[in-house]
Amino acid sequence: MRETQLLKGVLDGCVLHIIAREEIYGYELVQRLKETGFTNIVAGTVYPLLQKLERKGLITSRTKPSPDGPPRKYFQITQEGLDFLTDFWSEWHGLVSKVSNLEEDRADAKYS
Amino acid sequence: MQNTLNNYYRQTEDVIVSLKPENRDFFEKIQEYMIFSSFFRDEIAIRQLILQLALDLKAAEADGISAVDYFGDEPKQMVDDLIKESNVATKLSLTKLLGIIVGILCYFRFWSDFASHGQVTLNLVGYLSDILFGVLGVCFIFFIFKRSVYSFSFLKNKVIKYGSVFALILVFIAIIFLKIKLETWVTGPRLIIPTIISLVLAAFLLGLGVMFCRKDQVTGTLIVPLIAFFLCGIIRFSANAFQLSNVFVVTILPLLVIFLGLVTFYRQSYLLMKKGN
Repeated sequence: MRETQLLKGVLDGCVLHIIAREEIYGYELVQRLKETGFTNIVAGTVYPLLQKLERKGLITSRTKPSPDGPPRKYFQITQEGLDFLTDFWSEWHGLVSKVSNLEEDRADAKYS
Repeated sequence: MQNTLNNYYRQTEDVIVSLKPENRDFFEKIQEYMIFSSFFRDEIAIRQLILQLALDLKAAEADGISAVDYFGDEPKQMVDDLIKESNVATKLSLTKLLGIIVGILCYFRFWSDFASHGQVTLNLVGYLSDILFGVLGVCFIFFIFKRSVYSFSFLKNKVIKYGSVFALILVFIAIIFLKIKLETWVTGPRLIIPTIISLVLAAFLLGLGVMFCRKDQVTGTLIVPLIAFFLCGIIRFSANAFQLSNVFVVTILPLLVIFLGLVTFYRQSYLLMKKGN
């Protein structure tokens, strides 16, 4: 199964988590995701996601002067975003636990 | 608002020019597709987004990442998703945009009437059909431009390419035919404005048009054709006033004036484009 399909719905939380840790701009965020292990992630997936999170009010943005040229747009998490993140982690742990329960039976399964 | 847009545009162009050729080509397509897709969207937000994408690509390039590796191999999908998530333009700016389009269409209808008869006739059906077909035309042109960025790769075949151009010309001719027919089938109220008032109105609208067009180099190219339309109207007015039926005065001279006006327009536009490149 392709990683991107598994990532659907999870990536929102991952991106929010990175933004919650530091104010960040698009390119930095894509690089941070790659460093974390999401090597297949491209900006084409991340930018619409950022746009969606901003529209939902989970993040906000502001432009900051840049030494390299025109001002950059930095993203910050909002209170709604923090609440979403809290729910996300609790749902994530619940999901992992359910999937792990299934995985325990994997030894008896008819596949490797 | 216009200053902000110009600022974003200039800054984006500066970044694009500094990109490697292959990355520049890739990004220019993204930019074109984004602009043609965002007709009813918040223009400032779209321009700001394009600038941020360009800045990020520049940073990626500095780290040795190509545009296709950075954005992925589905840039069209990225733009479609971005546009879907972007803010719709406010009702005020949409009304303003529609007002500008309608204003320009009515303005040109006025000049077409005045240049042909030397007198202004306010034909309600004529103006309404100009607005209807004009707005549809603008939407159609935007649609074709948008599709041409990514979806017309099959046009690399020369036969299909020229066939498509021919089909487009046919559609255009059919629309004009339909418009002319509509104006003959449906008759509405007409208000014929007295010649002196027509002249004063034409002079006033010419002054207004010239003042507006002087603001910008691009719109500045329209000044000479506007004056040509005005002169044609004056020629027609004089021919009517002095009851002249000479072919040179009634037909050839107005055509010559319009022709010179259009040649000047094309020449100025060409020089401007050359300067821009």
